[in-house]
Amino acid sequence: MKNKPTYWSTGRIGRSILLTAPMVLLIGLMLSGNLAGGQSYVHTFSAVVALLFFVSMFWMMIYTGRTDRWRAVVFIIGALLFCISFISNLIEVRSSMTFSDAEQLTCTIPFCHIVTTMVIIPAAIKQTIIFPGSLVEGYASISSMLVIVLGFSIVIGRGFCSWGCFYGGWDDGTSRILRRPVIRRVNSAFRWFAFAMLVLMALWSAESLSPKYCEWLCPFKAVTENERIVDGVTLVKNIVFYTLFVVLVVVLPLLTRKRIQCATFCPMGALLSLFNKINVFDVRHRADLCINCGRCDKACPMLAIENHCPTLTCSKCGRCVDECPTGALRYHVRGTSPDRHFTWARTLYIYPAYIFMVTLLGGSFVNGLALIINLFI
Amino acid sequence: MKKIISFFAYLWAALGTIIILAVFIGMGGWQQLAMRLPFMRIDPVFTGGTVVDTLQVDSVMVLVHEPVFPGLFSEGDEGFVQIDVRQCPTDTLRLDSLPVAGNVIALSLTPASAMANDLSVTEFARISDGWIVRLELKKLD
Amino acid sequence: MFESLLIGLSTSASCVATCGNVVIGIIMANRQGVGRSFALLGAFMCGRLATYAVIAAVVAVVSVGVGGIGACAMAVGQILLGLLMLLYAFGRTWRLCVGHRASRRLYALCRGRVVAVAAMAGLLSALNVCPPMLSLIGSSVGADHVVGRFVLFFIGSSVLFLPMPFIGTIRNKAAVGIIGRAVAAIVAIIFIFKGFATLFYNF
Repeated sequence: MKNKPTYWSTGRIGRSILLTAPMVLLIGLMLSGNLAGGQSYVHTFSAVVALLFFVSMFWMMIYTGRTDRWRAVVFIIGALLFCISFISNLIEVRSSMTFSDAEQLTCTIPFCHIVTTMVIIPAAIKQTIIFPGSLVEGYASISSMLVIVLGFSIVIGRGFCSWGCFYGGWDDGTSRILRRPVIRRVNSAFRWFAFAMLVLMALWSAESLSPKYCEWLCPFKAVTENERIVDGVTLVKNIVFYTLFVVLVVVLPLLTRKRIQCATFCPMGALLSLFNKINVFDVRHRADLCINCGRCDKACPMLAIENHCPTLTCSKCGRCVDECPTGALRYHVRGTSPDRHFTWARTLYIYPAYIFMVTLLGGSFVNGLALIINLFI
Repeated sequence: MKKIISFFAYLWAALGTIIILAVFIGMGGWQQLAMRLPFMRIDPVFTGGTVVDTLQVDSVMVLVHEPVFPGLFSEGDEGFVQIDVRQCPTDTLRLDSLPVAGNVIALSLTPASAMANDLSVTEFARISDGWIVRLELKKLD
Repeated sequence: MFESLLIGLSTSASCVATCGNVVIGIIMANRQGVGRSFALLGAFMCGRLATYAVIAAVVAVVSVGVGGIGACAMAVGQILLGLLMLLYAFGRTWRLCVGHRASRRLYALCRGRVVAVAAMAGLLSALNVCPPMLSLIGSSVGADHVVGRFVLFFIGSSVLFLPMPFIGTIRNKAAVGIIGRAVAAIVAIIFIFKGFATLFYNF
């Protein structure tokens, strides 16, 4: 343990305050719309609670020097509240969690980031977006989501899967329920299945000019919106959605303590892995400090560790960094020396990643919390 | 040299926070910029294509779109033509002698069904002030 | 007759999107060079051409279009293709299923028979009759030079397959093989599903 570098000596409250203070302002800025006057008391109260929650989690991240534990709390709760907020919004607007032909024909379906993988080829060839959504107006418009996807891809690469994706929190949560895995050995080669999904979905969607993953294979349709059951085909689709959700998001993560859906099935994760190649941040392995204990391999939820080294599919969640007893794994800025200023590398990474997480999940966090509070008063 | 590379690496890393903030704070501007990209238009498969004819039948407005034959590199042999019926106050409607894509059709609409003579209805939806109907078209050899 | 070539060229994207995944899966999983990958593509194309020739002969001799029997043949072809791709995907992944006796036997079965697998895959995937093929069959009933039409359609629809063997240039990456097998496995599931769906809806 003596070789593990301390990110900050515990008790260095001053430095923690110094690093957390700007984050208070930034989080306040990003939640300002929710904190502003004119909202209901419950909504304002929820926004204040959210602000305090986000700030306290960031403080713990800085003060304890451990990333994953506190990130996961925000990430998982954010995913749950996102779904609560999203579903209640749908019920308010449509009186149902399902969408019908009317929503598709009037192009009012919210655009999800996973659709990006399916629109690339038709956008390049036909110069059109194959999705029945709104370009500018409305919730999750196409232009806003594409801007967000491009922005975070450049800055944090596949870190989106652990710091932003409002679906990822589901299997991150279920993978942490059991203390020990029931299925202990999961071959890390399974992570390449996601790339196969990317290739197939891109080609299949381009050929049919419709987003096939959304139409047939998205497990998160079970907790967001899905097609109304009107005939046998839509019945089969819903069976597929719910089955995939139960198997890939609940059962397998529970048994393996790995994020099976994100690591092996999501085509967006595979696409973002390619951005990891050009991303300025990575998690670096130092062979001179490594004692081959294998704790990183067991800890990694994304099957991204091979020979104790993080690979292309690393989502920079920080779990291996926290688990490593000798500090052989650490956040790193590409182009710099891996044995110097690693604490700054970590801080430089978690700052934009946390701001991104708060901004993307913050609004629905507040709405979801307000809905829950309203149930009790 | 290493120090210069390190400097720019840390600078780029530090800019990450600025970029993330800029993305969200300046979202309106970025959206306007994104809209100028050539591919930022919804495929006619979903929008029904551009409106080529607007008809006023009594108080009802009928918008006839151009025929759409979906295909990745070239148009396919099968497609559809979309008809939007707007400003209709009643729950049922019958429209006779509608000129649509070279055909003259009669359209019968209720909240639960849509029927046309000669052309088969592939999709239809009841919306707040009318209907959206898609009729199947096939290219003649 | 020349229009059959144009139909094939204009619809080649559809053919690639449907059957190209099978070729990509086989080429990537095999992790051979460009030359060997072209050989696999050639075997696949021979299988496709054989099926097209049989269909052409049936249309020319019997002078009927695709009906219920055609739909049945298509469904059976899809299911068999799916099973073949499953065999190929998991037969080569015995290391993935460590200790699984059946996987080792499958691997022994597939080892050295990649060309046969590619040819069989081409044969079965061509049974997956697509709309352009259907219209070609419809227009060929009772017409002249039926076999020539099908051959020209085959040539036109095969053009976009030609760049695929260049995947062999990245064969050094171990991940390529795994992705190829995964593609093969997922394509298999899709084809089996489609086959049973076709059988269910038609019968």
